[in-house]
Amino acid sequence: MSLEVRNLTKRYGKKEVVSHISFTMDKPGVFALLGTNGAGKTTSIRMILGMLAKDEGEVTWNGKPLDPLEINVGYLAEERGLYPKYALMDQMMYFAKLKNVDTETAKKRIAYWVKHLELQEYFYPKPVGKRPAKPMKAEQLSKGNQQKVQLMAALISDPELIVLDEPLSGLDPVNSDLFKEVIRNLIKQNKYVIMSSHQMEVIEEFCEDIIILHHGNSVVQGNLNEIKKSYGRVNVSVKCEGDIDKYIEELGIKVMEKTPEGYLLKVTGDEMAENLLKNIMSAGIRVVRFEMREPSLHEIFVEKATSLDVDNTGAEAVSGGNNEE
Amino acid sequence: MKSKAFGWQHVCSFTFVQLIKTPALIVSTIMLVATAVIMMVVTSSSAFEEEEVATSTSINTLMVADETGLGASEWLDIRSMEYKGVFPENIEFVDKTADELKEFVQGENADKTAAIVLSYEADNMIFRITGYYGSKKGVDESDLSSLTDLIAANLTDRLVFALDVSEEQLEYLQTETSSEVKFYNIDENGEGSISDEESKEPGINLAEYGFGLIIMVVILLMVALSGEQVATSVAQEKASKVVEYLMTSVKPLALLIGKIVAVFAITFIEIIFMIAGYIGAAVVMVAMHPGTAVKATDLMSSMMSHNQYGMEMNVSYNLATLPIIFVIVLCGILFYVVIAALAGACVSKMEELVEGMRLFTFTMLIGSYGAMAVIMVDMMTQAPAPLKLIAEMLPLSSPFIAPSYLLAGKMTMVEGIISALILVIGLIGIIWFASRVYESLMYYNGSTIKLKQLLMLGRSRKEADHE
Repeated sequence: MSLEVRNLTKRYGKKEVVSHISFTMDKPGVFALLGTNGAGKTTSIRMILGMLAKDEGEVTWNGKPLDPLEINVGYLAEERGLYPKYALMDQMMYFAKLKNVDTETAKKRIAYWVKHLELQEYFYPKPVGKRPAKPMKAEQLSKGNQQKVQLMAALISDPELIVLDEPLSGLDPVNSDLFKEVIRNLIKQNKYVIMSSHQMEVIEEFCEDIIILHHGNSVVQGNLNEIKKSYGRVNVSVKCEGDIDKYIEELGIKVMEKTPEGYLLKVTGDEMAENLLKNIMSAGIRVVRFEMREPSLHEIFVEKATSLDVDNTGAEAVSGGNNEE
Repeated sequence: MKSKAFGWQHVCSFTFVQLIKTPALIVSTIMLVATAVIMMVVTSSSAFEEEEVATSTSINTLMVADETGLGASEWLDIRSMEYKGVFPENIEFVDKTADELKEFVQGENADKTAAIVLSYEADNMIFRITGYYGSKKGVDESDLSSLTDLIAANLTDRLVFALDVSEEQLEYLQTETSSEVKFYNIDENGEGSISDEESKEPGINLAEYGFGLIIMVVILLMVALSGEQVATSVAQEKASKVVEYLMTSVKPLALLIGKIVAVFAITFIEIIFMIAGYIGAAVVMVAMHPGTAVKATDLMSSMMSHNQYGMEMNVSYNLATLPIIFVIVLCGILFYVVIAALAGACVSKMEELVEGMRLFTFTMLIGSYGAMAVIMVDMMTQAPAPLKLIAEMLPLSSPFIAPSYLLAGKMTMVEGIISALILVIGLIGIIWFASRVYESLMYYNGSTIKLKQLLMLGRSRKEADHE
């Protein structure tokens, strides 16, 4: 199975909100769709799922145009939605029927997810005294629990392709861990997952391949490890028992952050970092910590977003891995 | 490949079940039924009162003296069979004078006995029907009055037969007389001509007017109820953002069809409940008045005919037009419901729904008020032919006026078919337009879209969605 997105483009009038995006998922796993607010993530997802007409491009699943009515797709939308006034069980059965899940299977799956996501008291409320239990409505649930119900709706059909748009936003740490556990299980089950998130540590935890969008353009794309490698170990974390500002200035090193815990520096290569260390030690300053590392996804993301906003030089693509630009 | 309407049945059954459970719908249905019952009770109470008068008389014996020589003994017997309850069981035809009868009804053996004298005053050229009853003899004056009125109403028929008028002559005599005024018009060149403008006689009678209005109100009720429910349902799905999830399972067209069918079914059920309430109330009213000849199904006509003896209403039903009427009513409701769905899709928040519904309310009022105006003008005088034609053919107004006019024979079959065809074309047009803009509107999250923007959206097919 494979998902191929080629040259995906969307325009509103003369404005291109998504511009010629292409990527491929040829093995199961999690593909990350990143970008600042308004970068075009949700529009891209809607086009991928065939919910929104594309102006250009093609999306194929196993070589055929992707039609969500033809393949089993699960979708957790960024804009969460349930019918506030309708009973939870009714809604879930309806969503299952729309996905062609028969009643018996739907009931079993609902029971499984209700238990797994700890929603028993809402789906199977206990009777109060002699009164029969009243079915719970979505409006009676907290935001976090509504989000769980929506994740359940996305997974009720046991889909092959799952799209999770900001799945962890607004969740408390406990529920966030619960959702992560679900995503881990999906990976184990060899599902194809497209995930959009602003939480970079989550992306780093689950995703192998990423695409970063900025103003509708792909600015960074490819295998996450290779992207990081392509940057090199340019981040240096230093803590010394003395003032080292003079040595940093001498070598023209950029200071990313200066805190009581030390410096976060950006060097151009290994040689610059080694020279700094040599100069500090020659000056007899005691080094508590000197660490060279690749930039985190968060740093890459922030750097790309801010540099493009400042320079406004358009799309500068950094390629890595086997994905197209 | 699944069609764009795939899944509409699931949408329909879910919408139907959830709407049925809605307390607001239950309350509104109860209110509709209650209104129908109250309407029935109020409007029929007078008819029952009249009927009660007609169904039980305080007179046991009626003595009839015929001084006209019209042979009252033959035809009064027949009338007494036809109007049981108005006529007493015993009718005696006697050869007595008015004075003798006056004396008799005040005599000892005149309990519940009344007398009628039929006479002709040659000087005044007038037939007189005079009723006599004695005081404290148990005869109700209104019963005797009903009897004399009834005999007077039927005396013309009797005269026609007595004078040995043939059927053709009778038809000729019964032909309505019309009058018209034509004026001699002199134009700017000084040439004169007779105006060919016809006299303005009413296009429809009072009964047809009432009939037309009742049908119009029922259709208006169905349009308003269905439209309001579809618009609310669409807006609710948009406001709660659940529509985005649904789009991965069904296309917007399936959502639209499913909702429309469900709401249409609910409205149909509501109307059936309303009619059942109306008929049920009539049945109860009949049961509460034992011995009455009035049947529940006759009540509507008795209400409209203004004839206390249940004479035929002056509306000739053209039942052959029923299939066309069905098409017009169905397409008309669908036409308005699609507009309502668009109105619902134009808003993003429930609190904006009233503003969004203006589009639907405005078009519905134009259509229904236009139809009502034509019906009213037609009743008072005669609606101008072009105005009538526009109302009968325009998809906005034809669903309100064409069914009653077709049924009452005020529109020909051909006109009905043309009206239905124009409405079907209008419906296809509005569905085509909706299919162009509905998908875009589903993702639209801004302020309420105005009609102008909606038309622009349809023209350019520019998506209005925003991330």
